[in-house]
Amino acid sequence: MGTRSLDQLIIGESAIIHSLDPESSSALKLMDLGFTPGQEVTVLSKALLQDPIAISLRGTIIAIRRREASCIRI
Amino acid sequence: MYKDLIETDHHIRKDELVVMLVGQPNTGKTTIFNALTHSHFSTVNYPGSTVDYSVGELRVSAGFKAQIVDTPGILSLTPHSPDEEVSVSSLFHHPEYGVPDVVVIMADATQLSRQIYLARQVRAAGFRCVMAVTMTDLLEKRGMKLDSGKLSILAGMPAIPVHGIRKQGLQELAEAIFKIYSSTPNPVIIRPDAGTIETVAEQYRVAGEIERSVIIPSGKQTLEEALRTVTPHPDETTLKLDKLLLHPVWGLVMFLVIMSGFFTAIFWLAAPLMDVVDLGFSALGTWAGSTLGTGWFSDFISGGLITGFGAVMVFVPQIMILFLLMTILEDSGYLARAAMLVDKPLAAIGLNGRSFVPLLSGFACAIPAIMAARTIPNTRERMLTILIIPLMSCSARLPVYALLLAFLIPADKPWLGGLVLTGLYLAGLISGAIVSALISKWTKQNEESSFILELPAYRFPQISIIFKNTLYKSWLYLRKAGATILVISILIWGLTYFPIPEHHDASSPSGHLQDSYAAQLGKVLEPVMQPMGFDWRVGVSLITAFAAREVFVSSLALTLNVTGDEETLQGSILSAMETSVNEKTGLPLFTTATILGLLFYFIIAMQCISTLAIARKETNGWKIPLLQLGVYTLVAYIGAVAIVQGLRLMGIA
Repeated sequence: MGTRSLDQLIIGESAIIHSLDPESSSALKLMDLGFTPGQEVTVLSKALLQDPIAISLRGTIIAIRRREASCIRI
Repeated sequence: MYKDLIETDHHIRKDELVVMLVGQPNTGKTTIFNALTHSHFSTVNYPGSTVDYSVGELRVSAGFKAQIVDTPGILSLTPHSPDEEVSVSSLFHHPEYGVPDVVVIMADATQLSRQIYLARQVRAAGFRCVMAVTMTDLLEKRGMKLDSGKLSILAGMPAIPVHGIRKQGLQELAEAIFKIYSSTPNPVIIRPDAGTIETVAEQYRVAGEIERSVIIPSGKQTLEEALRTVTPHPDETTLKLDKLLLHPVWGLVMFLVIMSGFFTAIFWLAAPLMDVVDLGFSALGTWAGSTLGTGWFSDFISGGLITGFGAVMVFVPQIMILFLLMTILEDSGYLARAAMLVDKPLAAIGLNGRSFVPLLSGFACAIPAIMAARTIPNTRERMLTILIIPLMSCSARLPVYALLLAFLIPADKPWLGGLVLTGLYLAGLISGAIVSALISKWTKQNEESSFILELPAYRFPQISIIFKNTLYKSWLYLRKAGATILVISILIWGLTYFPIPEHHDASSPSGHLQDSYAAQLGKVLEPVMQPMGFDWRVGVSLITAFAAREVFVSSLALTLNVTGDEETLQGSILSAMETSVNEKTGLPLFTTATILGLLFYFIIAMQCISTLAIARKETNGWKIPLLQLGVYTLVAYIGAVAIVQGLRLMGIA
């Protein structure tokens, strides 16, 4: 738990969020959107060059950059 | 009954309540607003695009009066971009309505935990709250039901299921608003600080718990199945469509197909409609001229008013189709996907995926486009986006391009015209990319760049809303542009018509143009115009184009002294262009070289006073608008001169 980050998931893979890097400037915004510890997320698709990534959570889809996904530990 | 309450209850001091609708983007907030107010506002499907407020009177009769205020979508009470800051701070103190008496929180039943999270924040800040739960029909389609009674208790506010289009639950909602208003004392409102990672996690944990206990799975399911279905997921159609539209390769192909379809449709759909308008104004001008007889008044009506206005009205169909297609793309949910697909390439030139919608709007009009840039959180990315928006080929350039291309390209080759027009649009886009890339190389990025965007569920665009929205936007455009154009047309007509020489021969109206005020003014500018191959007449037209680019066409019609000989107005201008000769050099005024130079000028030059005004307002300074005016216009002029002179050296007149 907590050894991988969200950007390492492949398309279609799901995981439970372990924690967010508190140093990241986007952490609070991501949490505001529902990326909270314990929440299940699924990677739906990735744009060209694997960036940004579309993620399904809490009934909606949110696109975030790889760099933002990398601060979410799973 | 409520009337009695107004008179007796000591809480009530106002005879009209202020009710604000608050919610996350895409929760159906604007649809409910329309249903409550019977008003004519738009609903769009792109997060954060409701930049302005809409206000309307409550039209659902529940025994009290209220102003309903529709606010831009917010995720939480912690703002992350300038437009969110405006939305959040005006909830606590609206510039016009102050503190709302009641806040209605919109909640999408299919993603309840995120909605409850916001609702509880608003409740904790002290507001009197009512929750309006939308999309319960979608929940039922998936075999689940909402226990709204339990939700009311757990969320600490009445929860009313509503359906804006079917007009269900509106009466109950209105009654709940009034009940909570009249049964609770005036609250003390405190704006909360931005939470910490710990507090946000805790709030979401509670919201998730409430969600799980108020959603009832269908009876047939086992407990395990129920638990799985209760975990909300996006709808199946959206997931399937995204498999294609967000595919790393096919998604990009589809993006290009949709975008080329978008621009092709604008031109092919509009052509027949434009002919109708053109013929209509031509006939009107001829009729007015013959009915009113000779004299300055008749000339003023047929030559000044009708010709000037007609030259611009011709392009209204095209502009309407552009707005229509844009609204359809927005409302269907695709625009947010497109923003995601182009984030990486845009980031490479210092922009952001969120720059996509402002830039695309720039193809209609730079003014709403610059305002739409508010949704970009990063300051430098926002400034760069605003800076290059005027390079996107706005619809005011279309009249000019259409006229110049009609001159340049034989009528039997419409495909060539389409191709060149595409080239002109791309040229604008590419020059914007170059400007942005150069400047982002030179300046330093101070804030961290981010791209976090909700992709709303796909939906079939709602026809009535699409049409209302298109008509409304077109009307606004026409009202703004129309007044300017009318004034400028009359001014130009006057400048070209007066003074009338004493020995004036009424049978030759072109006789005195040489001596008109416009000619005198234009001749001062002539040294600047000659390197571009033009004389004072094009010079005057270019000056008037600073009011709005499309004015160039009507000015040209006036300075070339176009008479309505041909069947259509454009035909008349074209035949006048063919016979015009540069008064200084004796060479033809409009040639392949000069037209190409002029086209280049129009791609780059900053020629719109309204755009400069809005750029100053939105960037809160003169730097961006002055850069746009100085650099773009200078580059446009130098480039145009280089093209004309270069082509002439190569033997192309």
